[in-house]
Amino acid sequence: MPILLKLSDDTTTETLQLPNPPLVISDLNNDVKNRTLNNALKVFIYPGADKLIIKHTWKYNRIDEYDVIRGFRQRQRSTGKFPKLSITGLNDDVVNLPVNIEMGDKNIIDNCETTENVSVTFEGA
Amino acid sequence: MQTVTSQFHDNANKDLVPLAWGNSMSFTKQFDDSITFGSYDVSQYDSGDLFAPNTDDSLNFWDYYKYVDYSDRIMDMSWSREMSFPYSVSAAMADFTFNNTDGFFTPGGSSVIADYIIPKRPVRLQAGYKNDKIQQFIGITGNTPTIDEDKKTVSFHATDFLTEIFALNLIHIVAMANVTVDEVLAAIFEQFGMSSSSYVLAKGRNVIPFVFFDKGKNAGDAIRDLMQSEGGHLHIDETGIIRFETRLPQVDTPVYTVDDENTFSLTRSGQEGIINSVKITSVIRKVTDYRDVYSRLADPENQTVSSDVNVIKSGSSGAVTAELDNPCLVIEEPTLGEVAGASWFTAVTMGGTPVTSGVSVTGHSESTNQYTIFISNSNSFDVQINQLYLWGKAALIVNTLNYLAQDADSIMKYGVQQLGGDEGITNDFFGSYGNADSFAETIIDAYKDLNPTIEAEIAGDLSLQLGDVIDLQARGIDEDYRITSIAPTMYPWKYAIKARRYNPREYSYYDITEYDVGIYAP
Repeated sequence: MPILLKLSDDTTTETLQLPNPPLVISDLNNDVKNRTLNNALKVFIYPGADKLIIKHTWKYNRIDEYDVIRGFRQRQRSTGKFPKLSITGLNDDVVNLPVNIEMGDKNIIDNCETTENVSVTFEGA
Repeated sequence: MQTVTSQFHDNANKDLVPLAWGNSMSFTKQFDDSITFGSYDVSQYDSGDLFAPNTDDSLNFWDYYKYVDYSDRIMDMSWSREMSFPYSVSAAMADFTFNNTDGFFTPGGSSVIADYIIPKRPVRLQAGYKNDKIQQFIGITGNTPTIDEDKKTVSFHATDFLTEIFALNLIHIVAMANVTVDEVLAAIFEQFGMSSSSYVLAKGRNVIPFVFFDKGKNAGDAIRDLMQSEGGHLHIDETGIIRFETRLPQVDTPVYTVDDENTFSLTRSGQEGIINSVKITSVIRKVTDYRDVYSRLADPENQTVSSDVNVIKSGSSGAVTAELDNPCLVIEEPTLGEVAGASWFTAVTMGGTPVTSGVSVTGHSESTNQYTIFISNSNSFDVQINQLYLWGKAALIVNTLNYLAQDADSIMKYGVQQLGGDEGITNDFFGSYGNADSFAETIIDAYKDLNPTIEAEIAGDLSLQLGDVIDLQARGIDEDYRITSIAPTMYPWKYAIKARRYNPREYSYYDITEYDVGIYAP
C-alpha cells in the first residue's frame, strides 16, 4: 500500500505521492529534564505538548508538483492558518494534523524548472 | 498542604511528571448569572472590585465573576508567595504569558475582548498533574499587559485580592473594646462586603483594650499594625481564602520529604533573622463607663450671643463640631434640651432667647478626635447652638508602656539584634504589659539562636502551601523546615522554595488539663 500525503486548507486538498523514502517522523515536545542531587533524571511533561515533526525530501519534483506544496506554504502565511496533513499507508496513520510547512532550498536542475532534493518539514502545530 | 487525591501525589512523585495547567480570566468582569448574588448593583462600591454580597454561601466575592478558560493559550505561568518573620502581611503575585499570534489580546484589535484589555481583570491560575488541576492563585491583573510584537506574546502581572484590599480606605470607623485581632480583622473585612466564608482567622492571643480606626484610614496600614501587635501572619491562600495565623500556630508535622531523589539544588544559610532584644512602646487606653466626653456650656452670667459660630440658618441645616480630648468607643447622639445622663444640646435665638422646638439632629460623624452633629432648623429664624454636652464611653490613656526584653546569652554570641532596629517598635495595640511580655518572650524564644534557612529547587508537589512543614533529608541533613516562600514556574519547570528550620515548642495552656507537660505559653 503506497504511502500518501494529503494536504488540505481552506482553498484546496491535494494528495502527494511519496516516491522517494525515507519519510522521517520524529517526536516534538517541550519536556524539561532535570537531574536531582543524586543524578536521577526527572522529566516534566507538558499538557498537549506531544507533537510530531515529519520530514521528507523529494528527489525530483516537476515545477507543478513543487508549486502545490509551495502553495500551501504561502497560503498558511497569508491566511495565518495552518494546513492539515494526513498520511495514509502507515502502520500508525496521521490524521488531519495541523502543521507548519517549511521548505528547503529550491534546487532547479533544468530549463523545465525540475527541482532536486527539495526538503519539506511538516511541524506539528 | 491543599487537600488532594492520592493520585495527585503519585503523579507529583513520578520520574516523568505529567504537568497540567489552566488559566481563566474575566476580562469583561461580568457576573456569573448562575450564581445567586446580592445587591451588588446598588452597592456604594460598585466602581471597584469589592462589593457587598448578600449571601453567606461558601463562595468568595471574587467567585462571582464569569471566567473564560484561556488554558490553550498559555505559554508560561508562575506565581509566588512569601512570608517574613516574625510577622507579616504577604500578598501573592503571578505572571503569565499567552500566545498572541492572532492578536487576540492586543488592545484595540478586532477580538471580542479587545476593549477589555485594561487593568484589574480577575484571573485564576490552576496547576496540577494529568487531569487533576487545583487552584494556585486568584487575583487581579495590574497594569495593561506587555505585548511582544516580535514573539507574538502577551504577558500579564497579577496580585492577589489582599493587595486590592490593602489599597482601600476604611469605609466606616472601627471602634471596638477588649477585642482580639481576629475580631478586628473580621470587622474590617465586613466593611468591604466579605462574608465569613472568605476568611479563616485563628483566635488572636492579644486582647486589645481599645481599637479606633478613622473612616478613610488605609486598610493596609491598619492591618499591618494589628499583625505586628499579634506577631501574626496574614495572607490569601491558593483557593482565595484569607488566612490569619497567630504567633503560636498549632504544631505541624511534615507533609513532604525533600531528599536527594527529588531535589535539584540546595543551599543553606546560617545567621539570619536573629532577634534577642524586643523593645516596645505602647500607649495603653482603657474604655470608661458612660461619662461626659465633651461639654461646652454657656456662661450663666452672659447669655449674649456674640458671634455667628454654630449658627443654623432659618429653614436650613448646619454642622456643629466638638473637639474630643480622647477617642470614644461610643457617643450617644444628642437631643434638644438638657437631660441628665445623656447627650444634649441647647439652642437660642440670635437675641439669646432659648429655643425649645424646631431644631433637631439629623445625623453625625466621628473620628479619633472630633464628633460632628448635623442639625436641622425648621424655625423661621436663625438659631445658635449655645451648649453641647456629649455622653459616651471614652478611651482614656492609663499608661504608656516602655517595655524591653533581652536574652543575655544570645547577645553575648551575636550582639544586640533588636526587633525593629534601634527604635524598637511603637504600636498602641499591645494594650497591656502582659501582652507585650508574651509577644517578646515568644519572639525571643523562637529567634534568639541560629535558625538555618534553605533555598532549594525541588521536584515539588503542587499541593504544597506556605507554612507547610517539610522533612529535609538531603545532603546528609535530617531536620524539619517550615516553608516561608513558594515560587513555582511552569515553563521551564522550576519549583523554588525557601524554608526556615522548624523548632516547634510544645506549649501548653493554662486552661487545659495537660498543663503539667511542656512549657507554658508565654
